[in-house]
Amino acid sequence: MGKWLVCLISACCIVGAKADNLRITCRAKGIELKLLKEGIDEWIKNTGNQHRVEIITLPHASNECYALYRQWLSAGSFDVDILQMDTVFVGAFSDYLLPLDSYVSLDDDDKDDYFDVVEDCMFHDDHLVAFPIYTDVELMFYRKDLLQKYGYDEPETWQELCAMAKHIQDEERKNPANRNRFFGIIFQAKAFEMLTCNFIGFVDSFGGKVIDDGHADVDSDQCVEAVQCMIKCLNEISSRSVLNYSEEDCRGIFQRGNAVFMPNWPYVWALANDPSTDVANKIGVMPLPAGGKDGKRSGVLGGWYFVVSKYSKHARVAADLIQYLTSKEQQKKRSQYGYAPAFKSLYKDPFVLKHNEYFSILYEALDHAVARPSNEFRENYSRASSEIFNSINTILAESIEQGSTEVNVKKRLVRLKKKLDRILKMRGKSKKGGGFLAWLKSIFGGSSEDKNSDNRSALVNGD
Amino acid sequence: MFSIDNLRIRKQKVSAASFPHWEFLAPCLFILAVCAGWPLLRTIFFSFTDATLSNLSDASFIGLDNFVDLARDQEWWQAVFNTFVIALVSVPLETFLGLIIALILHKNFRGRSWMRAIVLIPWTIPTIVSARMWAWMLNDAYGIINDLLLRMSIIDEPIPWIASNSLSIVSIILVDVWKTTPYMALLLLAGLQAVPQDCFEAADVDGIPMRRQLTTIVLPLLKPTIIVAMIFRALDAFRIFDLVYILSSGNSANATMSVFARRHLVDYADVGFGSAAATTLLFFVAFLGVLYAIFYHAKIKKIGLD
Repeated sequence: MGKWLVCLISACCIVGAKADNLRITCRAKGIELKLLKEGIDEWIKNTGNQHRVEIITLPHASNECYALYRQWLSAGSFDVDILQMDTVFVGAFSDYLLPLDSYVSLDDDDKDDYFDVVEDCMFHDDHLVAFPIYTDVELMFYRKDLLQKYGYDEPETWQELCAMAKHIQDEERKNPANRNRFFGIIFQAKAFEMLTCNFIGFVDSFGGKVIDDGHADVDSDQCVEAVQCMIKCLNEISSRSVLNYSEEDCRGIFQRGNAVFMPNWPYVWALANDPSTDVANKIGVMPLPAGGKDGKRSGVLGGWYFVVSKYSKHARVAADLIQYLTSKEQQKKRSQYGYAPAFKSLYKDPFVLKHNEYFSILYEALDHAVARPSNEFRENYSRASSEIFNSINTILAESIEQGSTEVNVKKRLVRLKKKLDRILKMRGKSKKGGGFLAWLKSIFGGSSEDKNSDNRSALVNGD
Repeated sequence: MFSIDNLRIRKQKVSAASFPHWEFLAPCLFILAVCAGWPLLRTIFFSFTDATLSNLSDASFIGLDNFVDLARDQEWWQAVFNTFVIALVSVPLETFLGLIIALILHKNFRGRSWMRAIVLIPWTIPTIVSARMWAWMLNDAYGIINDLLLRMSIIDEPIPWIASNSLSIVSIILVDVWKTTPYMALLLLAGLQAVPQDCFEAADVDGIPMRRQLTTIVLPLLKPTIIVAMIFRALDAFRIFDLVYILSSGNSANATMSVFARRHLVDYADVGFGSAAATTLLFFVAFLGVLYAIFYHAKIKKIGLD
């Protein structure tokens, strides 16, 4: 009944807004929107397709996109055909994705050319479901000119980075214009997905793991050390406002030349090097530093994909469009704006390297990138991620309010571990109660039998 | 809005024609039932099930489990606490400031009607827009408020208004007060206009100073209006969402009840548990509604006895 209502309402909307439009979602972050518009125009010109394509912009925070998709897809909405999805979404929404095998064919050469981590994400149960637009790995951006000015080399460890940033911050603040507005490092610590990424990056560089052998391991010594390092960064070399900063807030501060270091995604490279910014050509980039001499350089894996909703009425056209938009040529074109290609061969392409001399660093970072535990948490990933960013945000906030030394990091992390373990167990959770609805249904025409077991496979096969 | 004269007239009319005109009410009732009644009932229904967003139709009935879990959830009680803090601080503040503004606007001065319109502006801006606006102004790196305070040497370093957990509640309350004081002023002004003018004239003739007029005439006559207006505002304050969503870091330490419900409903796709939270929130608000009904009733009775 509820579904009918939703369908009725969306049907009205669609009739009102021309049924033939192909709708595609896009994050309006950086210049993604502009690139998508150009890509679509090219596609129309090259294929002579008559479909009108309508772009729907998404919220900045990826967990808000996730929430939006959750609402659309579970309502069976057919007003969106192509969805732009984060790495971690593709697995979580696999039930709603249209298998693309019957619409497009994938070159064997192309297939081998994808990074393995990317290919893992493109296929679900051996069906092709997603095409990578670009891949992403968190990098550390820094001010080359400032490091040179104070006689430093690229830091290899977080400890070196902190000492360096502290010194530069203290010196730069002597300039009255910078008095309270210059920071050693600006990082995303707002309670949202990116804080989870940052936490995982820190933990990985200190040699810890969020999930180890099927259990949460966030209370290990390495994790405690990693969080203490975050607290140190926040209290000594950063602004307290980072607790409410997302990627774009950080980019704003960094671009105005008010920070030495900033972890962020590669899209920043091209934007921050734009001649209109205060830091053009003064930026360096490197993988995230290691946590001490025994730690490893790290990077958190990201990346966005195009998928087709199984409710789409334009499956063939949609599949054709996304294959075009994610082709090697398009990825090559995107790469000049700093979007990292998902094809390995492009990292040897002179055109790509000309625009991105740092791509060798990116290739290296992608090589030892750490993935977020979405495979472990699956459909409960957003809950797990939200527990992580909530706990870390709380720890960081407390460290400001109570003085950094008094926060009991270990206690908080043990609590987080318990929560994560509970979420891990939820996956196998069977139904708790006696089917009141099933009973109701059996009275009003028992069509619901075996729906539980068949639902999933029916959805995957996408009929 | 709640003028005494009006009430008296309405009461007579109602008793004269007590026949409810269902045929006139029907379209309105139908729309209410579809837009408000049905979703409401569905939410209450889901709160007794283990529904998730991806499997709404297969949900099974689990009795009161969700409510038991809710009662055990620390974060929920934190959210309840935050909601009460916001409501209990902001509503009296808004009433106080609203009363002052209403008293000023009640006086005769040039451009009074313009002033009345202008005062309403904060209330007419959509909350999400004004919240975003304030978030920019309160930002510590590029916000104008910190910049002004710094330039005036009132503070030495920028204050993280919306980043720290304890301060963001203060910011939320301040912005809420900024936004809804005009609404309170409007309600109270309507009440003031219903206070019979001859009381003031008599007081003026007797040479009673303004301050005493305020405490002996205005406040007692305005009391029913104030109480009703406060309950109205409290109903609103209990479901505060947009301000909190924009002005806090998203941490559950400063979530309110509706933010908590949304997180579970949408982010975690746990429709059952989220609905239980939403239903409980509804009961908090309904409780206030009952309070309102009692006061309203008492007021009518009192007037009837006069």
